[in-house]
Amino acid sequence: MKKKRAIRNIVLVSLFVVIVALLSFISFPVPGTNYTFKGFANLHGGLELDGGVKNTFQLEVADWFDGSDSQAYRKAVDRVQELLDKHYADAKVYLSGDNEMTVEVPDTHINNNYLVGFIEMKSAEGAEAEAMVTGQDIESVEYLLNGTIHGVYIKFSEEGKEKFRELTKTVSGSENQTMYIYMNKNYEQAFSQTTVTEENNSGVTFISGASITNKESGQEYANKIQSATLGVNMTTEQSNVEIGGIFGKHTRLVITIVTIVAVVASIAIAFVLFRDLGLMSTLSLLFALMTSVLIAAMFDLQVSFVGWLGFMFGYFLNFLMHMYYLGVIKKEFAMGKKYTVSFTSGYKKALFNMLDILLITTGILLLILIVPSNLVRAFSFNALMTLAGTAFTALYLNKVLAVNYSALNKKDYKRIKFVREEVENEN
Amino acid sequence: MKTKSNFKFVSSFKYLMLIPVLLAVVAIVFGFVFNLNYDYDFRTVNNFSVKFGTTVSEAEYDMLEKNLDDLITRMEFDNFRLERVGSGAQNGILVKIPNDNGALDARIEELKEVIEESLITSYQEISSSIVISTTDTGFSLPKNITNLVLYSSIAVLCILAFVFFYNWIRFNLISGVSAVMVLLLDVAMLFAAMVAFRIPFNYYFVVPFFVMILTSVVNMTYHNNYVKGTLNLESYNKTTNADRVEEATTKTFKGVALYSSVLLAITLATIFFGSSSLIYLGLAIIVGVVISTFNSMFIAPSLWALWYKREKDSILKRRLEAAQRKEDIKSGKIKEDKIVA
Repeated sequence: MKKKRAIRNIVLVSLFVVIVALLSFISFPVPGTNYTFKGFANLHGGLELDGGVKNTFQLEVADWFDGSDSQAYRKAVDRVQELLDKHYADAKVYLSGDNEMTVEVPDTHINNNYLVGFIEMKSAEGAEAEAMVTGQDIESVEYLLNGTIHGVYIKFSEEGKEKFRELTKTVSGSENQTMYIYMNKNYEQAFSQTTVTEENNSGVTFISGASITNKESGQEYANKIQSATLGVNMTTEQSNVEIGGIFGKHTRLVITIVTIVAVVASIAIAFVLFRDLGLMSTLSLLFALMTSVLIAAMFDLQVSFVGWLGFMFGYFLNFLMHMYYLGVIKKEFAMGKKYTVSFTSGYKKALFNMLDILLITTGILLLILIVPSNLVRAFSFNALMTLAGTAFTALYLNKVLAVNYSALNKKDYKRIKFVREEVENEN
Repeated sequence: MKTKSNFKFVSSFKYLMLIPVLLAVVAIVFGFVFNLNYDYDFRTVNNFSVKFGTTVSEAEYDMLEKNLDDLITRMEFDNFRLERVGSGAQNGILVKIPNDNGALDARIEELKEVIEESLITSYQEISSSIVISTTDTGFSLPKNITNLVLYSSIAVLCILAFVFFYNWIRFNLISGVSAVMVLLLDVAMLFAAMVAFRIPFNYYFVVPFFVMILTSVVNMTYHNNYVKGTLNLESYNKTTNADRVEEATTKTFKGVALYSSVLLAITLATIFFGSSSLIYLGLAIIVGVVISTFNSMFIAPSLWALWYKREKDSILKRRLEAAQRKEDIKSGKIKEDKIVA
């Protein structure tokens, strides 16, 4: 019975490992959803590994901005970096001239909604029409789902409330009753055109439209309008320039090879130390690795060098804990415990050490997330992602498989390099 | 309880502490003489693109890159970087040269002229229809890292507090204190090493610090658990505290060395086979892992052994009482309590 259960467990874990390994190389749309599963091997690389595009923008500060131009530029850099960090692992934003900002993203284009710009609300079309409401009149902006309609909720300041009332009064009394909202001084194409039929004196408004189709696009619009309250505009005449990976074209290949070599080396070490039992433990280790691979693929994570470091940190921590457990079993056996009993008694002894390492590492990695840098967060997030699999395998699966092994090999302890020796009991 | 190792971790403490002291002295001297070594992220950097005017093959791209590198070196620029930009007919190479206070303005313009004139003519290997031109010189200003440094410091302080309380609750007060001392020493030593070895500070510089802290904490927790396991009546009567710690350090050394070695191996392999741009980050991580292994293996146990007072250890006290009670029951001095329902 125990033998059958052991074989069943080994087959199930092996199947999971093989299936996820195969899934790593394919991409497919999930039926019934808009979601496309990208295999681990197909994940996008970050700017440092795969490159992207860059452009340089001219900056203009609104006359109502309270502070110096250099303060405005710094704020704009921080805001654009914050918006880009929501979508890319390692986008770069920096000042590159007296009034210029350069943006580098790991993508094929730079989304205008991630940049800052002026907002102008007008009662008539075009550049010449007067901007009756601007960024200084907006107090807050947020995405709102109104019934089934996705949109953006704008709250005006006291002064803005009056200006918006005036604007809506003018628009509702006009012939075409259309309010024009322009962003980034792009007067050729309005950011939004809204029909206004009556005066609005509530100090708030809700904008919806064909381009706001879901929560994501709604939040993007809200962020864009919120950025307009900064009072800095970005424009460019240049087209985007493609840039190569900062870490060079071979680095992605190198980290792939290093990962494979590291995994193979850890299997070899486990085998050298514990023979068959080491291989059994490796199965649990591979299960954790594949769980992380699956999570990374499901969340479509962007691959960065520092993120990879976090991934490897977590993997080796798991490896250490797997070997530690086997080491404790070996010691228990050496000290005189019965062969099969040593597997469970060893677990009890190793458990608290493993729990300590897991808890303290998780706590530290969570605290590292305080740092406002996507690079540092990528390290922390990837390591945390692997810790989920580590917790399950180091605390449970490794023990289950080891006990299963003891059902398959009931007495040949020499086969797994276990030896009886006279060890002074330290406990 | 005798250790098999010839090396005495605890008694070597006074000599081992010379290493951080020496490192600190070198760092202070280097820091004062040469100032901190800032990388491109924190300096004003001039840049211009060298355009080819046509689509070049991969082999030609490699050759042009190599030639450009050679040409700029011959023009006596010792600090510059080349990056590929553009695609198709717009492809080229971006040249970055740090230029604080505009000191190299004239030389950079001269360099551009030399590149346009002689990048192709000086090197016979390239024979396609490439026409070299350079773009206007732009520049990037130093990145603002106030927030990064501020929040990283807050994160480190929070980590210190967390590690202290965790160790205090799980082990004892001294292990909490020694863990915090070691982590502070780690941070100071890595900073000193970066100054002493002239490792540039770039936007990644906080990553090696966090990798080092994590490695230290994992090593110390592994070690502390072993020491805790030896808190019992038998060893209390037979050995000193220093011996107990010594034994634990020797026994856990293999595991710690294995863990640190694999981290070092993958970082080394990546630097060795990867791009030269990775060297500074990789080097800082390697130094950090070495420091954390050194401190968690040699300094933390020594601090524990030196400061620990076993008569004040409540966990040990409880264990000893329980063990004594068992002994007394066995020898019949007291009767076992039995509750009958």
